[in-house]
Amino acid sequence: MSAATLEAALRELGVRCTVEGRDRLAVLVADDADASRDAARMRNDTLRLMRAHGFTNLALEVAAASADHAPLHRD
Amino acid sequence: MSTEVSPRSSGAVTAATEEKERALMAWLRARGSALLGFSGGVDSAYLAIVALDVLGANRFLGVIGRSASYPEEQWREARAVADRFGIPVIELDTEELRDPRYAANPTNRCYFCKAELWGRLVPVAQERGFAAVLDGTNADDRSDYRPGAAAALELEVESPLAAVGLTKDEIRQLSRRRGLSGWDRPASPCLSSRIPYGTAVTTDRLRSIEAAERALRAIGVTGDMRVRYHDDLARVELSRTEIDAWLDLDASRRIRDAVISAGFTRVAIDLAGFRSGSLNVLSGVTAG
Repeated sequence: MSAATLEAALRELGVRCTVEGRDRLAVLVADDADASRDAARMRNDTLRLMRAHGFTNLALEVAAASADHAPLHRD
Repeated sequence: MSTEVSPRSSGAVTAATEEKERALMAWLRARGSALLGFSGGVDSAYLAIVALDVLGANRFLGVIGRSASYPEEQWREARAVADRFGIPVIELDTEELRDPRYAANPTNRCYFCKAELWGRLVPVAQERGFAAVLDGTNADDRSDYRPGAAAALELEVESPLAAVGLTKDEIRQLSRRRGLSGWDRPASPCLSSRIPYGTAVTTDRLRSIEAAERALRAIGVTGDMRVRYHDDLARVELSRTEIDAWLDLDASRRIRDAVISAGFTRVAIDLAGFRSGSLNVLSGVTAG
């Protein structure tokens, strides 16, 4: 279970994002609004990758309307 | 872990379900009198209506246990059902949050909550001469991870819905037939179930969760929904029939604003949607 490898897999899929791991929860922080739309559109694929990388839950952080770039947090 | 009941039943009552209801009525009749832990959820509301029907108002009493973990909306529903059907009810305050074993939020947290609840209700039943103390556990619940059931067992609390094999789906069908308006209402477990095991349960956290869920209902979120607490981050689980609509950028920002207004600083939408017991999954807890 690695946030970094899931992040790499998601980027390969075309979802530009950062992944923050919180135990078995992966929080997907999209690079911008377009990336957030991509993550939502490819929801089933992102969930498949989430499971393949050992996480049980994947949540897409919703950025404020004024901020395309969400803050990056890592444990 | 139980699965979501969705779509909620709207089918006709089958002969097999009819038979289970008759068995339930016979079960209650055999007890003669009963006190029920009455939350106002579909299960206990249905059981209260049947018990009142079988036993009458002098030999039946519903008791609402109130604490910070009990959603106010649920309390309003319980009172509304009681008023509409003439169910005799009293209210007792429970103080599970004062118990450090509960507040520490171990995987068997529900045991300490139910021990507190039944520890207060059983003496009331004894003082008033009720022959049995009941809960609204149904047949489906038996497959879920429910450490609270152990506390019920220790204090000889009985579960007639489960005893006669009535499932959630069947209870919804029967509730609809009896005119219970909330027959298709989403389940509303206690607010502490939104906090991961090992993270302390506090009144402030429960209030934030409750406020966030109320704010989400206010902007139009319907169906099964939970706000899961992850420190600064609220993880919102939405009904699978609604999730795609709410993932639209503008809609998701309305979700964010609603949850932020309740005191969270970050908001994320779970891409798998609502899962009953999802924090059990995160914690690696399974029925056993």
